[in-house]
Parts: sequence; C-alpha cells; structure tokens
Amino acid sequence: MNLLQPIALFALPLVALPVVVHLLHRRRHRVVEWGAMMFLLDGERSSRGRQRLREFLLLAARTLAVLALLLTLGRPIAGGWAARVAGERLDQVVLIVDRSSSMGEEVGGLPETKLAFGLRGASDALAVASPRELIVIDATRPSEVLRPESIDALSALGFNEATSASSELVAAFETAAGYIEEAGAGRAEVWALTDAQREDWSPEDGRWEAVAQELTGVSGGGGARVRLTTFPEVAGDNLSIRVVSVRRESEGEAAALVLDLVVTRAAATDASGDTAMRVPVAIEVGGARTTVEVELTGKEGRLVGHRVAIDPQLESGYGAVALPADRRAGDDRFWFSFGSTPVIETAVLAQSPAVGAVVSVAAKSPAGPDVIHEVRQLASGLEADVDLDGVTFLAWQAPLPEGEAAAEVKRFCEAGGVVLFLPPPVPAGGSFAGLGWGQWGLVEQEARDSAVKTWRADADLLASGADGTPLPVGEVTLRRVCSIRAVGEAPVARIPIAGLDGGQALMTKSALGRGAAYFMGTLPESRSSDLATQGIVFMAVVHRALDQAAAALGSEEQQVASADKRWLEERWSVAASDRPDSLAERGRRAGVLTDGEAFVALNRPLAEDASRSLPEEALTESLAPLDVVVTTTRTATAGGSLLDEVWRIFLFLVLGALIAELLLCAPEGSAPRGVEE
Amino acid sequence: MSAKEAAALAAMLDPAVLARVGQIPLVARRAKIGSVSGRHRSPHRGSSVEFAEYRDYVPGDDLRRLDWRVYGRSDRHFVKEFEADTNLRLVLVIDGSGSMRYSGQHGAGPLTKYELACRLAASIAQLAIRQGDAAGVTIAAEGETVRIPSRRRPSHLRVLAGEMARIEPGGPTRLVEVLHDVAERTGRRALVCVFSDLFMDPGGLRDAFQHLRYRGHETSAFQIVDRDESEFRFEEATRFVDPEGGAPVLADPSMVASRYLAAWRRHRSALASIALAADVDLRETFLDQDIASGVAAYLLARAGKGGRR
Repeated sequence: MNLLQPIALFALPLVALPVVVHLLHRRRHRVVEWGAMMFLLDGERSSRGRQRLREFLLLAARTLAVLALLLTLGRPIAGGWAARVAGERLDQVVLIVDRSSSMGEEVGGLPETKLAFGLRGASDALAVASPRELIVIDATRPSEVLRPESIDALSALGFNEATSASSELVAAFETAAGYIEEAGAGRAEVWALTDAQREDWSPEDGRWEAVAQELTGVSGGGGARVRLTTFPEVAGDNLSIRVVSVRRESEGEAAALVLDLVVTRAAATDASGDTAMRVPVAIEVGGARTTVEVELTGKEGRLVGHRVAIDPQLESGYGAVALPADRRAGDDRFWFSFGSTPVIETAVLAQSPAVGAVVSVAAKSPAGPDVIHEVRQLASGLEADVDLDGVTFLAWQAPLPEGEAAAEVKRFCEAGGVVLFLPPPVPAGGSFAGLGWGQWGLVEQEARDSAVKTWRADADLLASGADGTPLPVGEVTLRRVCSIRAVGEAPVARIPIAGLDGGQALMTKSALGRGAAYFMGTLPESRSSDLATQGIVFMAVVHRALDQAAAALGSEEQQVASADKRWLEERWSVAASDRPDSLAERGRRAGVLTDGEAFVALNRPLAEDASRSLPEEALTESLAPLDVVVTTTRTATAGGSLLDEVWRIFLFLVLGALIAELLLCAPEGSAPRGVEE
Repeated sequence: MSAKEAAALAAMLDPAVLARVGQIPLVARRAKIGSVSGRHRSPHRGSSVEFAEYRDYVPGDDLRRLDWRVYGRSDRHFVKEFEADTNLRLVLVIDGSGSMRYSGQHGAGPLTKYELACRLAASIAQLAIRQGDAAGVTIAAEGETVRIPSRRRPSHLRVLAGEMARIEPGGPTRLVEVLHDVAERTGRRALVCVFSDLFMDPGGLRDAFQHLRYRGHETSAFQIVDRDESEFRFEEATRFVDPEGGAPVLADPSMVASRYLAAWRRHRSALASIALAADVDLRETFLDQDIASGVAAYLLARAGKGGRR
C-alpha cells in the first residue's frame, strides 16, 4: 500500500492524541472521600484485569480511528495499476494512449470518459512511480512522440478528449519499442490505455511479434514490462448514427438532399427488454434544422431516401445528423458534405488491348451511386509522355516507365495515387520503386488450378471481406506467371501480397509516399489466367485500389478522420466541427474541412461503432513473451479504480473504530440487572 | 459548656419531629428491667395491678406471694403472678468512623451521615426521656469510646447532644468492638439503637448482634447510607479516597459500577439475614430522608409489632 499524498504522514504524531487525552483524563479525575470502599475494592479487584483490557482496547480503537483517518487523507492506494508500480523506480515510462472515438464513452456510473478516467489513473500512478522520463504516444497518431511535463499538462490541452479517428496500437507499440531501444535507458515500462477494440489492436498484425521481440531485448535484456489498462465494457444503450449516402437532387426550382442513414444500438434491446425504439434524429443543413424519427428494431434502424429540402442556390455544402446525447458523445453526430457528383478517373496504359478492356470494364463498373468512374485510355507507345492530372488509379501494362515518365508516376504515387503494374508481353529491364519484371514462366499443368498458396487476407487488395469471407484467390487458375524481381536496396518496404507455391511472388506492393505501386505477375486474359472470366478477384483488386487511392487523394467527400498529414496542409480549413480544435488534431476530429471549393466531411471509422473488445488473453498473447499486467476497469464497478475503494476501506475502518469505541464506552450497568447474582 | 450543649441540642432537635412523633410511644418489644415503674413490660412478676397467671410454688419463692385463698380451698401451693411495668433503658450507639463523614455528591443535603445519625439519636432520646425512660449514648469515635450513661432527667438530653456534637467522625470503624463492650457493660436489659452505615465485615457484626441478644438487649439498627453509595451514580473517572485510611482507588465508575452494585447487594442481603437471626430491627435510612418520617416509621413499626400484650 502506498500513499498518493504522503504529506499526510506529517500529521502522524496526531496518533498520539488519544494517548495524551487518555493520560490527561487520568490526571483530571475528581476526588471523592468514599466510605463504601469495601464494595468498591471488591468490584475493582475483580474487574481490574478486565478494566485494563478495556482501557487498552479503547485506546487502541481511538488510535486506530485517528490513524485510519490520517491514512484516508493520504489517499492510500492498494491493488490496481497505481499500487503495483509503487516502490519500483522506473527510468522511463512510455504511455500509449488510445484516443480513438470509442474511448470517449463514459465509464459506467461516472460522468467521465474512459479516456479521461484512464489518464487520471495514469497520472496518479505516475505520481507514485515518478519515472525519470515520461513519453506519451497518441495511438491515433502513432508516429509522433510527445514529451509532456505531466499528464495533467496534456489534459489541460484537451488530450483527455477522444478524437474521431481510430487508433493503431501496434504502430504505437512499434514507436514505443523503437524509442525505448534507442534511448537505452535503464528500467522502462510501457503503459497503455485502451478499450482494446479489435480493429484498433488488430491482433493478426505481424508487427506484434516484432514489437514483442524488440521490447524483450530492452532494459539490459530484462525486457520492458507492459501494463495495460483496458475498458472492455460497452454501454448497451449507446446509439450511434451514420450517413450511408447523401446526394443532391434538383427538379426545376426546388432542390433537396436525399439521405440514407442508419442508427445502430450496441444492444438489441433497451433496458426494459423492448426491441423497438423510436429515436429523434436532427438533420442540420445550411443552418436549418429538421427532426425526423427513426424506428429501431433490434440493433439497427434505417432511414432510406429521406428528403430534406434545401436552398436551390446551394450547389454544395455540408451538414450533420445528430442523435440526442448519450454515454458516448463521439458517435452521436455524423457530418456529411454534398456537391456535384465526384468523378474518379482511371488511366489505363495497356499494350494488350484485351487487358486494357478488362481493366476498363472493371474500373467503370459502378460501385455506388455517389461516384462517377471514368476511364482514360493512354495510348500505348506514349509511355514517355504520360499526363496523370486528375487520375486516381493507373493501370500500366507496358515496359516500366523511365525518366520523365517514371518521375511523373512516382509523384503521382507519393501524392496518394495507386499504380498497378501488369507484365508486358515481352518483359524488359528497368525497375520502379525497387521492383522489376523477370521472365514469363508457365505454371505446371497440375498446379494451375490452385497455384496461389499464400496471400494477405488481413489487409490490402486481397483482404477478406468486412464479414470475414475470404476472396477466392486460391481458386484462381494461373497458366503463366511473370516473375517479379527485387531490384537493389529498396528505399521503401516491399510487401508480398500474394505468392505461389515455392515462394515465387505473384503480387508485391511497394509503398511510395501515401500511395503505392503494385506489381501483379499475371494478366487478366485467357492465356495467362482466368482473372478476366472469373472476375471477382480482379474486380476486388481494381476497386480496392481505386478506393485506396481516392481516399488518399481526397477526392471523396466523405472521409474517415485520421492523422493523415494531408489535413494539416494549409489549404484546408475547418468549416464545422464538434468542437474547436487545435491545428495538430485537425483531421482527427469529426467535422467538415474545406479548401475553399469543396467540402470534405470527416467522421469516425465504421469500426469505432462496432465496439468489439478483445479478451485479456488476446492482448497478452499479442505481446507474448513480455510480462504484461492487465488492469481491467469494468464499468459495472461504479467508481472503477481500486484507488477509490481503498480510501473507502479506511473510512470504514474509522467508522468501525469509532463504533468499537462507543461500545467499549457504554456503561456496564446497561446490562440487565440480576445477571450478576 | 451548658450554652454550647444547649445550642447543640437545638441544632439536633427539630421541633417538627417532636410535633409529628410526640404522640407515638417508644415501645420495647421485649421485656425490660428498669428501676422505675414505667410503660414497659418488666421481666419481673410482682407487685402490680395486672394479674398474669398462677403457677406452682417452688421452694425459694417468696412465701408472701403464695395465694393463701387457693391454698385454703385446694390445699395446693400456688403463686399468683402479676405483670410488672418497668421503665426502658435506651442505649444509643453511634458509629463515629470516617465513612460516616460522607454527605453525598448529588446534592442530597447538608448533613453528613454522622450528623443524621446524631439527629435521629437525639430525637429518639428525647422521646424516651419524655416518656420517662432513661437514655444514654455510646459513640465509637476515633481512638476513644464516649460513654454517657443512661439518665431519665430531661436535662440529660443536653449532655448527650453536647457529646455528640463534640465528636468528629474519623478513623476506621470500631463499631463491633464497641457493641461487644455495650453488651457487657449494660447490666440491665436495654434497647440498643445502633446508628451506622454498617460498612464492615458482616461476620463481626453478626457476633456483636448475637452478643447483644444473648445479653437480653433488644437491638435496632439504623443503617445510614447515601443514595450515591447504594446506587453508585458516578460518571467520570474518580479517585475514591478511603476516609478510614485505606488505599485510594482510581476507578472509571462505568467499569466498576456493576460489580460495586453486586457487592452492595450481597452485603445488604447478608445484613438482612444477620438481622433476622439476631432479631435486630434493621432499618435502611437514606441521607436524603426526612428525619421526622424516619423516626415516625420506626416508632409506628414498633408500636404495631410489639405493643403491650
């Protein structure tokens, strides 16, 4: 047990107060000349031992009451996170804070968010541990390392308010591990505050292993201890709102917005077990506010095709839909922007017309009503003079670009564009982003139908669907494959996306700035594969590449709030937001940004609404073999941290001692008479 | 000296007491031997007017008392006996030990137990002398035993009062010793009234009472106590100092009260059984009690129980 306010110990001499009072009391008795001594002596003699004992107990009870009161004032801590760090001198504490939207939920029974509550606990724990160095990593922006004077100083700057972005905990741990290793300080610990959301933690991520390895080696080989404070409980009555689509329609003089929105509830029923529920939803557009009721059945209620009349002059603009405030404030509002339907343009440069056609068809197929897809065919042979202005996605089936063209494609990628390189009929030398083409090779007859053995199903172009259904990559028939060469020391990471039996790469990614270059070793035409005829895999590849690029380039109006540097560019300014933001958090807060022409609505990622928490074992498993201490703060235990309970115990002790004192003081005569005889 | 005694007597005798109890006779319950014919039954049969009984003559009887008429008629020797009245010898024994100095903590009154004892004794002595009985006082004081012999003179009251006022109570109790002494010294059967808190070993007291009884004396005992002593009403820690020279005791009353009261009750029941065995008229008298009603109750009880047969 330790004290958060050890100054209270200076008052410890007060413990002697009952003893002093007792002694004074003994001296201050009155004197009576007493004739009936014989009875007194009789009574006194037989009760002397008992009286001594009682006096002693009385004194002990009083002393205990004072002591317990003093300790209560000293804010004792026992158990829990804070207490466990007590007494261990730490050189370095890296505090990873999950500031994702879901951490903005109130802890049960407290008007305090999980984030604020956790930070307060961390602050208390730091007061006890008093490490030489405190590093804070905001998991919504894991690349940045903060060195605040104290947690309270950070909280004063709004750090204790959740953002609307999601967290990348593995990246934050990576940064932490890197920092600790670099600093080489003595005893280091990593503390993390998180609600352990599956998507934020992403336990499948291969980087966990590396992080655990790295952290095991620090602190002179002793390894860094990891302390997790988790808040796995989710408020069942929490409602969240999300706009699925919004489009502007005009008919003659009138104009209207057509909204599809969905309200979700964490639990399928309300407190009384009722599945149906009506929720008022406020829609704010251009300063006007209307309210519509949405009926929920079970976990979800949808409003489809709701029309809101707007000023016909309003060509583009923004608005928000809002729910009544509940325990998680961050998901009660969803921003949207509208304007003329955006155009996403794909550029195709193909030496084989068949390949060009398949890519065009795939790219043009509408994925939704809000976007128009256009395809620009670049003439083969003009590789040296490409113009990628306005292009989002580039498919390149030609010898790799050189000189000017290579620089242009590279610029395009770094800005967020995605390029998919397909092997030309005759692979030439050259390389792009550390990758180049090898030679075409035939796939053995018997292996053709299940040639693809490995692919990344957790992320990227071949990821499984949102519900976990895998893409049928393994069923793709491959007839011939052009090998992908790694060229030179790559300046950027080369990430294998899919591979054949025996380790040959089928698809490799090379990240370039905010965009990426993908090399795919086969073609969507019948000589090479059945990607054209069995189009699912290829469609997914193209559309995911399109989405990825469109999101990165900012050509979509509805975006997910994130720490993307793009939003920090000067051209963006905040048109509307949940709260006034510091510049550093622009982009991570829900709201509407504008560059003077277009509006971009930023909202929390869908995963933040899902609130699927990982069990404790999954967290410790990710970090195995590190020493992980998990402190789970259950919302059900109102009051939460053990910290409070300990002082409560001491208050009870005070009370108990006082009651004991009272009982001991009660005159014996109160016992029924005649018992003695 | 005489003036002093008169003042002491005036202080001790409350006219209200006399007014209230003056008409109640002080009656001896057992036959007394007195020198003067009085209102009390004498153990001697003799020359009186009230016939008692006939009994057989036994050699040694006074021949003058033989009933010759009966002898003449029946040729048998009978002696005719008459009740003899005699006067009462009252011996007042007052305990002058330190414990009698107590006057109560709870505003019971200005009197100490000794003073109350003296007032009771004086009142009873006054009554006795008024009805022609003799009264004397023996005070068991510290270091001395004051003995004033019984006299029937009304002026003797002043002597008694002066002696009682002179004595300052103190020291350990000598009551038992004095009672034995009284039993021996008082030749004729007497009414012995003891005024004490009786805070002493019941065994010694039993012997003394038995001794008195054996010697033919009739004993009344006024146990004078304060309600503090019987109820032990103290709240704060108190140092109890023994006025009779014992070691002081510092006690928290709340802690010792129950045992004190138990000891008190034990003592009280012991006294009651001793009184029963030794035929002692034991009367618990409280310091806050009205003297007149105390005396009246005593007299009435005696008159009711032991009047003339």
